[in-house]
Formats: sequence, C-alpha cells, structure tokens
Amino acid sequence: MISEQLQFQIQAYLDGSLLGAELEAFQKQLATNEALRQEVELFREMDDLLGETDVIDFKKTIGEVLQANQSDAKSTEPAKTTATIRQLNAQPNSRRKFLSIAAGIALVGLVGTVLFLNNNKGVSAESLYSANMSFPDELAGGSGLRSTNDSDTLAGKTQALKIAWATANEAYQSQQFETALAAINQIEQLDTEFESEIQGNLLFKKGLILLKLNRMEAAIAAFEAVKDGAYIPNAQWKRALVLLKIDVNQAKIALGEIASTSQHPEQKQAAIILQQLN
Amino acid sequence: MSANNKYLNGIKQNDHKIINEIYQQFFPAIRNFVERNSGKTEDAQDVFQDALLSIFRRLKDNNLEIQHTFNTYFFTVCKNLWYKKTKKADFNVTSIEVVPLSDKEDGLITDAITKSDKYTLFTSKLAQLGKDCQKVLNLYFTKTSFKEIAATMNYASEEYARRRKYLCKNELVKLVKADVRHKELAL
Repeated sequence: MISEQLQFQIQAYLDGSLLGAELEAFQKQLATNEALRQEVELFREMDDLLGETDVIDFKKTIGEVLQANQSDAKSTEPAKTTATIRQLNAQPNSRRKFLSIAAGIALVGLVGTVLFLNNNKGVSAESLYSANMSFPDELAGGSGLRSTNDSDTLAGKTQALKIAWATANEAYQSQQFETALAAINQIEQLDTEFESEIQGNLLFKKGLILLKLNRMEAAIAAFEAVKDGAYIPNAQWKRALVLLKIDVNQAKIALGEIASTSQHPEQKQAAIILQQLN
Repeated sequence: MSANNKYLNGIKQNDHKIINEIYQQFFPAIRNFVERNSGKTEDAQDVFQDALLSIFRRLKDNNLEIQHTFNTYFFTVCKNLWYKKTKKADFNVTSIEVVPLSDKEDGLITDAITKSDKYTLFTSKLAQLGKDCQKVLNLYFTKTSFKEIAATMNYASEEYARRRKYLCKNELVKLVKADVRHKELAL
C-alpha cells in the first residue's frame, strides 16, 4: 500500500517540484517498485483526463445536440407501442399470446429488480464514511470570545485564549494534530467562565482533531459532549459518520435519528446513506 | 469539400452545427441497430457519443485515416462499440454496409472507450469531494498556477495552495480506488 507521504512525493514528482537527492531517491524507487509505478500512472492519468478541456467542451456539445433532439427519439416510441398492440390483437389466440408476453415481461422485470438490488447493495460503510466525511480548512474559534469584562485578569485570560486558538489553528493547518489537540486542551482548561457556545465550538473542533489522529472513540465522546444548540446538528452528523467506521448498527440508529429530524441540515443525506447501507 | 472532410473538420473543431448534422444523418440508423440488438435509445446515445469522442481524440492526435465514406466508417465504429459493450458475437446485422476494422483500429477504439469510462469515474468521485477541494482541483486541472490558486482561494501562500491540492488529490485517489470500477478499468 502506498503511504500518504509517498503520494505527496508522487504529486511533487509530477508537478516538477521534487528536486535533488529527493528526486534521485524517488526515481530509484520507481525503477524497482511496480506498485509505485502504477500509482504514479494513476495520478498522471487523472491529471491528463481531467485536464482535457477540449474533450470536456466536445462532450458538452454532444450532450447539447442529444438533448435538443431528444423529443425526436421520444416521439417514435408511442407509435411503436401502438403498432405492437395492434399486431397482437389482429392475431388468432391473441389473448393467450398477450398473457404469455405479459408474463415474460413480468419475469424479466422481477429478475431485473433482483439484479439491480444486488448490484446496489453492499456499499461499504467505510466508503460511505470516506465519501461523506469532510474537514474544514481551518479552525475558526478565537473570534468567538464574548466576555465584556475589562478587568486585568480577564484581559489576560482573553489574550491567553486568543493565543491558544491561533496555535491550534496554525498547527491544524500544518497537519500537526497532536500540537493542535494540546492547544485545544489548554483552551478547555482556560475557558471555564465563557458562554456555552464557545464550549460547543471547542468540543466540535476537538472531535475533528481527534478524528485526524484516528482516535475514533475519543472523537465520538467529544461530539456527544456538545450541548449547545448551534453545534449540535454538526456534532450529531459527524458522530454518525464516525460510527460507520466502528459500529455500523449504531451508525444506522444515529443516521435514522437524523433522517427523521425535520430541519436537520443533513436529513436528506442521512436518508440516502441509510438506503445505501440497507 | 467532400462529406468526409466536412464531418471530420466539424468534429475536430467542435462545430455544433456539424455535430447536429451528423446526429440527424446517422443517429436513426444507429438507434435502429442498437435496439435490434438488445439495446435501448439511451444505449444508442452512449454509443453515438463514444464513437464521436473516439474520432475526436484520434483527430487531436493526428491519428486518423478513413479509407471509406464517413457513413460506413462511423457506423462501423458504432457497431464495434456496441459489440464491446454487450460482448455478443452474433448480431442481427442491418442492411447498412459495414467493413471490418483492423486490429490497430479496433485497439484505438477500445482505448477511447476506456478513457471515456475512466473520465466518468474520476469526475463522479471529484463531485463527492468537499466544495473547496473541488474548486482547488478544478483550478489545478485547468493548469492554473499555485500562485493563482492561492489568490483565488484566499490562501496565505503558494506553498499552502500546493499542500491543499496534494491533500485533495490524495482524497480523490482514495475515492477512486474504493470504487469497483477502479479494478474493472485496470487502473
């Protein structure tokens, strides 16, 4: 399996920013590692195909022509159906023939439904997690400090909180998640007197960082601890997605709750995932 | 200008009028052929699109020579495409003249279909990424520099833009590999 770090190197290699000793070492690996060569080919092919703007434009033109002429295709169907029915009615023993044709169509429909269902079940919970989980680019939070008390002590604490949020944010953006977590924990200790809305934001962000560190149970605990209204829907959603990775039955329960909560921003998506799981 | 040249130039230049003319001239016969061989109108549309795309790619690479009329060639390409899609050996051949294709020609058509299928897979997975990732990658794929990506996305630096692109691309590759089509297309 190709590591994430090696995938970064592949991309640097392809965009020409891998240089010197690093480039040499990578090329040596390429010469002897078939899996790596295949991975490079996949990355390259993606760049090539998704960058073919002329092909994309051409496909668009074909699509427009097909769409504009679609009524032409549809207008012939009713005539064909009518002709078929007329033919059937004109023949001797047409009723028996009609029934046997109808039975045949029903059987084909049944087989088709079974095949369709078989092909569409078994979407893995893992792939549903990957497809639906997303992370913010940064941790917004320091601006949420709302204390209006101007005392020296509080000003000092406010400043300490701002620094801790900035540290958490920079560490998060640089993928240094242990450092980000340490800064968040510091905020948690400092932030005992502020509004609960800060607490919800803090715990939600903590959950995200814990996910980045692959600490699933701890992440779930953080999301479950979110009590303030504004962050609850997001926390519920993330919790449900994480459960896809560790306990699919619990995930289904969590998704079911979201799918049955009107006004929940992820109500529709939760229903879609449940359908794909079943 | 011969009909061959008219159609081939029209395809190469992505001329909407010519593509429409090709549709009007040839699609009914293609649809008839596909429907008589276990397909539906939608399948005929796919075949029509894939045939045109394979010709477009070949013209782009200056890798196309037609020995017969465009009519005959185009219909032969469509027939071969439908054959590959259904893997049937025994067809109910229509009255339209069909000439066999060389192995090389056949191989080139197969390549064109595979590219088309890969493109469909990649774009479907790209659409599953977060909006920011989609935007970053679309900018990258259209050859936007990292400096411009940083400016467009309001990132602090070019280096950060590069890193975001790397992360998003890794995510895209992960989604592609998790799809069953990845193995089928021998990616």
